[in-house]
Amino acid sequence: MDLDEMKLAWSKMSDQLDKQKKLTSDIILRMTQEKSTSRLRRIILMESFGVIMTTIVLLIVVANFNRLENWAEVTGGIGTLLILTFAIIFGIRLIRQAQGINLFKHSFKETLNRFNAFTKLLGFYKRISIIINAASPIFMFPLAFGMFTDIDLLEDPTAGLYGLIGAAVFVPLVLYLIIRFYKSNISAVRSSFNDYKDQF
Amino acid sequence: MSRDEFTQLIKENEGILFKVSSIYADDTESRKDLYQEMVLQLWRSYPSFKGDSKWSTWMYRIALNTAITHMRTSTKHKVLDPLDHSIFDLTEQDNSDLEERLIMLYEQIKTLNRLEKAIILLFLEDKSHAEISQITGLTTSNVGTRISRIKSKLKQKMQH
Repeated sequence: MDLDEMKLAWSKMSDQLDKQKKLTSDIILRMTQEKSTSRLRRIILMESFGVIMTTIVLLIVVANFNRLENWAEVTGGIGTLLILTFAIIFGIRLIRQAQGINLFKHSFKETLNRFNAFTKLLGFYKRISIIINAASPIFMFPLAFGMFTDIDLLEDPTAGLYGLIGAAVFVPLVLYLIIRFYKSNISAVRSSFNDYKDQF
Repeated sequence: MSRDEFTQLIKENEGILFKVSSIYADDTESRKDLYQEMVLQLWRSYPSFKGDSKWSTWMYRIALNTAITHMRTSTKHKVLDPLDHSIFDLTEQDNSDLEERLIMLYEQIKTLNRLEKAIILLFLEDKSHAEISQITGLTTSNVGTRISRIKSKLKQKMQH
């Protein structure tokens, strides 16, 4: 087989290939899935980190609960434990829902339904989180002061007041950053799904 | 360029991807991987496509670079299967003579190194030396020299 024959065989193959349009939707689907999962993975990573940290804090609170001395500290401890438990359950639910969004395992419609359910849940958690984060310093300060310092907030409320002022500045900022993180990732996932929908 | 346009252009030129993947990968699974990797790489790179060159030239460049890099990393970890007939899965017409000749052709190409494979592919595609130079980054005279070397290399192999 000489080079001219090679070229001829190659050209015939090219002609046959040109008649076929075999780029499968599978590859486009993979592109979409890659884009969406990379953003969802960020959310899962963030939530997993949150769940681990919250669990650690919860265990610390449980282990040191006997150090709480007055009604304010005990109320703060119980309130904090409830908030942390609630946060862990929400975090796990979010992770599980995010992991269930997969174009390979489900149809596009089903995936979109799962994604919509996920964003709905996320929206609900966001609203709840704002309320909880606003209320949490009220429970957490007596607990933290009772557990880790010798200051009794019932006797010296000024220390708690400084803490509350600090929290009033710090908490909205953290909340804003978290909400912005979720918003940008969710909108990226939504846009990749929309791209996919436009293709078919 | 919108995503629709991108997909359309990929669809129109997917023969390029098929040919590159069939030259650089030896078994069906690797070919599928490489094909997918090339599409993803094109998808990632297309925002940087300025339109200075033809779309197909740009596509060859990205596809060949991806293939060379991809095969460099994947061959470190696996032993490639011998050439099989599934290369020609895409050809729908029953043409055993052509298939036989293509197998022979691929066997010859497989003996070349990565850069030579890219050059012979572009040569078989009837690209000019200038176009091959644009795609591979070699100078035009270097392309000419390398093509001559490949030709004599293949000629020698065919005689044995």
